[in-house]
Amino acid sequence: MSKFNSEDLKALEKLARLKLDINREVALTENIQKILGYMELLNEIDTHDTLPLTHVIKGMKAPLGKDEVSEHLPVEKFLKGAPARVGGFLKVPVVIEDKEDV
Amino acid sequence: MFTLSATDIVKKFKAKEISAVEITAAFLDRAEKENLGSLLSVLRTRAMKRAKDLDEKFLSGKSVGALAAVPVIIKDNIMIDGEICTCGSRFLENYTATYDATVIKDLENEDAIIIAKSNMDEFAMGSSTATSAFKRCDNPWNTDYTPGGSSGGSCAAVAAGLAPISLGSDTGGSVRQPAAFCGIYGFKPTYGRVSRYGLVAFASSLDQIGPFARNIDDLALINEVIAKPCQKDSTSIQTPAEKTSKTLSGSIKGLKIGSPTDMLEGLHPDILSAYNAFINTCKELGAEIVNISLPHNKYSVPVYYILAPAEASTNLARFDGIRYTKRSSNAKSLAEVYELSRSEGFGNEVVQRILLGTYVLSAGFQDAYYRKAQKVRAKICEDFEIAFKTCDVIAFPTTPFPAFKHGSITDPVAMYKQDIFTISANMAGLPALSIPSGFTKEGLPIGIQVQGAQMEDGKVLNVAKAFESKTNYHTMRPSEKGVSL
Repeated sequence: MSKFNSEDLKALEKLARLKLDINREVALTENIQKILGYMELLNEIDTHDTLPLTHVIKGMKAPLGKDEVSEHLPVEKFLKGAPARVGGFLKVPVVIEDKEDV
Repeated sequence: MFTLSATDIVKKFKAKEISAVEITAAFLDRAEKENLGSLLSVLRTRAMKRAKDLDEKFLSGKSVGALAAVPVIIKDNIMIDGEICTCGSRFLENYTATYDATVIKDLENEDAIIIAKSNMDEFAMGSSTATSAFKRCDNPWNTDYTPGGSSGGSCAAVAAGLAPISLGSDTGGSVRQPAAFCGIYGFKPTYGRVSRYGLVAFASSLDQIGPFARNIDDLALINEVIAKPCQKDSTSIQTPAEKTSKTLSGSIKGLKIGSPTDMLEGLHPDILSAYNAFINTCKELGAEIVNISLPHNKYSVPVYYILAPAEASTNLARFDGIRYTKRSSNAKSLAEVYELSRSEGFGNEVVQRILLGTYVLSAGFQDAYYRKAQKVRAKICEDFEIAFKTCDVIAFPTTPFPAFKHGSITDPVAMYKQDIFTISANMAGLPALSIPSGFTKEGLPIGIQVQGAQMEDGKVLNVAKAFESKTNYHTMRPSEKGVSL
């Protein structure tokens, strides 16, 4: 595997919805290189016959909630945490421009 | 008053020697003056109202709960309805929680008084509380040193007598490592034993809320209050938990304690001495020591730093600049709302883990990293299954080294290796407790960890009950070592 580089970091930023300044990018590229290098330790172990673990408590089943109406978060309370709102909705910048207005 | 145990506070309150308002006011005053950096907010209005209501309830003859009038501090990633919940992050510095976590309801149903929210590594990512966006937290035994992390604030606060008990969260050792560094008890229950509902998610397959206390009876008491099935957490164990405050006999006669001797190389010499002394004390108490091997433990750190960031990158996707108060004022488009809000709101460690998680989950790398780590996690669990066929519990140090100085570890891999002895319990979902077990020559606390099989939380706590009967490490306080608080 080729060494993790600044181009890889740029690609990750896009996937993770981040836009970092150059100073952070340089430091993070170096750190992630080191951490991925350390992870190569895992190549020592043969795991061909091992199944991946997804649930740590064996035999546990996800419980089903009772089929009844319970408390829920009131819209107004939720919207108090919204950085911008319009009436009872979350407000975001225009996603699709109206061509006639352009 | 500040050295009283939770159990003593309940007794004094019930004996009408002191009112809830008096206790609460005294602890709030102390909390507001604290200079360790252990707290992010003091909940005076809420706490005083609840204390007043409790006094009225008690004086009217009604029965009161198991934690009546006990001041409790809560890590700032556990939600309390109507109170700020920052997770130690700029992203959430103005966010008000909209509901109570299940553990908060459990504590308040038993009449505990929540007095403050504690400092923490940002989104619980760190081992020193240094990634907190707000302030540094000092170790009360020596303020040049970190208290550990990520629950460093909750831990330092209890060690410093700001409350007798507190809650933290433990994803890779975030309760046990600070407990070892600050000389108190820190417990990670079996995965699923305590509800995660209302705990801001970091790595959901590993996260577990756990308590801190200065003595084992207090720890058992608070653990019993929060260890309950929860309908709102799909990973909650649905069978009732044992009553840990009632089942601690303090006898470990005939108990088989596994000692992974192959893991003891390279330890700080004072920690090795403390471990040997711990083992000898357990032998004197009638336990049998069995040599065991956990050959995959050395892989637990790289496994953790694949799985936890993978889960974190998913969990933290919800912080998008549209909900949770934070939005970049520079954002013009929807894409910029996401990108700038997240980049401005998250600190470097959080960004690093989001990027790592995104990397190990991305097409082309998922099998090499994420799937591989899930498989090695299975092998780590197998080690424990084999070990628990020959022993009842396992004991080894909580950390290979004592507390480190602020800023002394800058290499990310060196920092991550701090968790080498604590991560495996999260990997395997085991109950694990750090027990105050001595001091280095420099006067820094040492913790020895006891891990049990899943669901055997009481057995783990009972080892501490027995050890506590023969030692006095848990009674030593930072002020006795000459540190001015």
